[in-house]
Amino acid sequence: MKKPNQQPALHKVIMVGSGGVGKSALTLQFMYDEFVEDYEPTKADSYRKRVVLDGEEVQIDILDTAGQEDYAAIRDNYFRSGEGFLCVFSITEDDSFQATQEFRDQILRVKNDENIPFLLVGNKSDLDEKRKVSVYESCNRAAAWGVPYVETSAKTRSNVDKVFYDLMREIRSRKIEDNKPGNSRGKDKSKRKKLKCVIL
Amino acid sequence: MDFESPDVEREFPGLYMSETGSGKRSQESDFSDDAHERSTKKDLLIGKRKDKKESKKDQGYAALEGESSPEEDLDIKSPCKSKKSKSFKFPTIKDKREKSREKDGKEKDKEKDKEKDKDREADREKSEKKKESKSKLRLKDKKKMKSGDDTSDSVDEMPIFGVPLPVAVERNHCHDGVQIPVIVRDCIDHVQELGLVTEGIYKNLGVKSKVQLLRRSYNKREAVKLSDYDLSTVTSLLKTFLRELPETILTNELASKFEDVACIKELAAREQELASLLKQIPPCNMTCLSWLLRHFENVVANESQNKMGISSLSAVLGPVLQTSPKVVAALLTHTSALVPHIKLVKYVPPLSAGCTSLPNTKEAITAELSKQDSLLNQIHAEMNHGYTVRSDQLWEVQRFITLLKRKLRTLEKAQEVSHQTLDKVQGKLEPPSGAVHVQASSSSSSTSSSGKAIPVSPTGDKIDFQMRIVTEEKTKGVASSDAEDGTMRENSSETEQKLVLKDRVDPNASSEPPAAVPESSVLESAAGAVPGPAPVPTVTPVTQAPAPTTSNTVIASDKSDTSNSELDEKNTETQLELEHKELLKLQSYLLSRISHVHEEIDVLRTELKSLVSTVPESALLSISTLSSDVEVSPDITDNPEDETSNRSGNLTKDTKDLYEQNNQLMEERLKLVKQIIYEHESCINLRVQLEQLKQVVETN
Repeated sequence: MKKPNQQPALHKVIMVGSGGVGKSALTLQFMYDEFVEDYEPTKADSYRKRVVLDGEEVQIDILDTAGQEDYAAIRDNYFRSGEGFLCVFSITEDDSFQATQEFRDQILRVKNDENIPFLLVGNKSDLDEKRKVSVYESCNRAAAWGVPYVETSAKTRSNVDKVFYDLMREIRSRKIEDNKPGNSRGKDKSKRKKLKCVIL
Repeated sequence: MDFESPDVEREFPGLYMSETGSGKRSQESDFSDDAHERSTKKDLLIGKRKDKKESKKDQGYAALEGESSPEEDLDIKSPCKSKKSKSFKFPTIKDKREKSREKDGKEKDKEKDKEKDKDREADREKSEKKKESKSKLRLKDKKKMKSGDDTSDSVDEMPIFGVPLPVAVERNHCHDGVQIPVIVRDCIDHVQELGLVTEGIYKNLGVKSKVQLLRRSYNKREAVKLSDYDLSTVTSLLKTFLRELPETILTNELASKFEDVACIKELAAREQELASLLKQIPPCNMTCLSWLLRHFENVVANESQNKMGISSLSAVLGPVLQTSPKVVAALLTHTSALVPHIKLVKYVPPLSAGCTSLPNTKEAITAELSKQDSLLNQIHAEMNHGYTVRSDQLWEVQRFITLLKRKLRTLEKAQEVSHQTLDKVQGKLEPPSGAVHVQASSSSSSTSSSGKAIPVSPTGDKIDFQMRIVTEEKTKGVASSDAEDGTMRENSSETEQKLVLKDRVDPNASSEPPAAVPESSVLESAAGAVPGPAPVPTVTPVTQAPAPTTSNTVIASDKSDTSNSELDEKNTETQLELEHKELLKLQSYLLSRISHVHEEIDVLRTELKSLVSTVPESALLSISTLSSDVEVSPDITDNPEDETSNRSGNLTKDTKDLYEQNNQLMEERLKLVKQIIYEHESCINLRVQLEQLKQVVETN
């Protein structure tokens, strides 16, 4: 509404995953190049940054959500408005990996869209000696979902930029795709799909 | 093919509405013309006159139809609506059409009907699904449609008008904790600011359309700028809100009791009865009523200008508050007694997320954070009710909260750090009970006595003040005490000496740094660096050169111990000589500075003497207590001007704050001074080493 045409494109990214897997750490590392050692559970935080994506200036909105179940009630409201998701787990904690399935399900339920831009992220890759989740296992799950799998380390900043930029690229191409056929957006598209099914 | 569609449409009107409606319509009207022609042929038998009349009528009818159909297309979006209107409007024409067509395409009809049935089913499912998804996902659209249908009353999901007061408070609540709908608060603020002296305030009616516009904006949570509207429109808005409350703000239950009480003639009894009745109304209503009454009281207070006394105002407000004017008048008469503690505070809404300037103090940030949190909770609550419009705002508010939190955290961290250093410094200060302590007690005593001894510009004034203490001490005390230090040092071993040196620095730091630091900040930085270490070298002139020399040797030899362990006595001797030279240089510089400061003191003393006569007794008293505390008599009162000027106001709070700030600054300076001292020491060491190397090179 307010935005003039000159405003760079805005991509809305949501961080999801269990508590303590490093969602905030990844976000802060990406935003401010800082690594925070002490753990403080997030309720919800949001950040905006201007970045250059393949030569084009864009804005990224990152919503860092709570991993704890306590805040699950407000999650839906956020998920609804997200355009892409980074589903984070810790490679040192199998429970967090198992939980990614629930997050994926919740996102699909809220967004009602199988092809929503989505990345599976295995964080804490610097702690390889404590690894509990194998790369093979994670890749399998990612393949089953049809999403990329990336291992990151918020501590060493390894792949941190990559996950955000990759996701933004997906969101961007998704938007271009959606805008092509008759100016209709995601919701309309899914509706149209359904209609086809009915007719057939 | 052409014939089928109207047929189908008669049975399922509106089927093609959304897709090809307008096209079909034009065809239809063609048909109706056709039918009309045929009917006229039949009518030929009856008579031409009749025919002419009828044809005219029919033509008019057809024309009307042609005009109305596209309009309908625009208006009607839901199929159900079009069903009604269509089947109702043109039965006769279609009957005629059917008859005329019957012979031509009975069979075709049947075939096509089957096909159409299938399509129809699909289409129905389509439209149903559309409806579903709309109701779920596109409440906004739905709302638009509804507001288009209902002309004046836009049906909102969660309106603010016409709902019970607690609901309105919840939906439209102030984020600063006051339990009143924002709309009431806004209107009160607006009138308080601009309208208290306006003649006929609350009596004059606003423009109805504008009031409705505002009402709708509030219902839709749109940003509203009341300053864009007339005063009368704003008052009408408030009146509308109050009038539309499902029950009177006094509650229906108690309304009749209020009427009874209002009839009591004796004022004291009436007041008492009203008070006890008001205790029974729910807190939510009471808060709102209190604010309103306080506001109306202010209106009445300006009766001379706005011509709205209690009687005229209550005549206006009676129906608005859904009670009798008598009750309102009674409430207004006793407002000051009934709601004594209510203060109208202008509502400052949470900062909009686009705002770039964040609050700076910890308190302001915390306050803003709680507002934003409250706003966020409201957004969440509304979204949980399916109010999806606000998802953008959700991100914005969330982002703003994150920003505020980050700023708060950095502020807290900074404070922690400063506290830690403060603790450290204080720990060092404690044992010698240095000047800072004295100064603290002196200034606190002065604040309590008259609250004026603390200068308005703390830094500058205090600096002077302490500088004098130091110079005094330098000139008097240092001579004796440091002489002892010096002799002690000579006797002790090298390592011990170093300890002594450090110890020596500490008392200096405690007693003199408060002075030294200020000095450094007053003077230009270059010169400022020197006064810091002043305590160390000042000793030199008084206690004889050997003392400082040895003390510095300690450090130098410490280093030389590691690097040049094989240096012979001769080398140490030369080293000592070099150091001595360096220190003498420094000494001369510092002596010149001391004399300079002394001159300044003299100037200020004379200034002070001239001013003392103008200072009132109490001030003098405080000055004397001050000076007795610090044992530096006249120097403290170096700024009598400030004192006198400050005396006039009650600045106890300000002065307290300033005092705290000052203390913090002092601590920081202490730290700096120490650094300067150490750096100076190492500087001397380096110079000595340099000289030594030069000599070595020369001898080689």
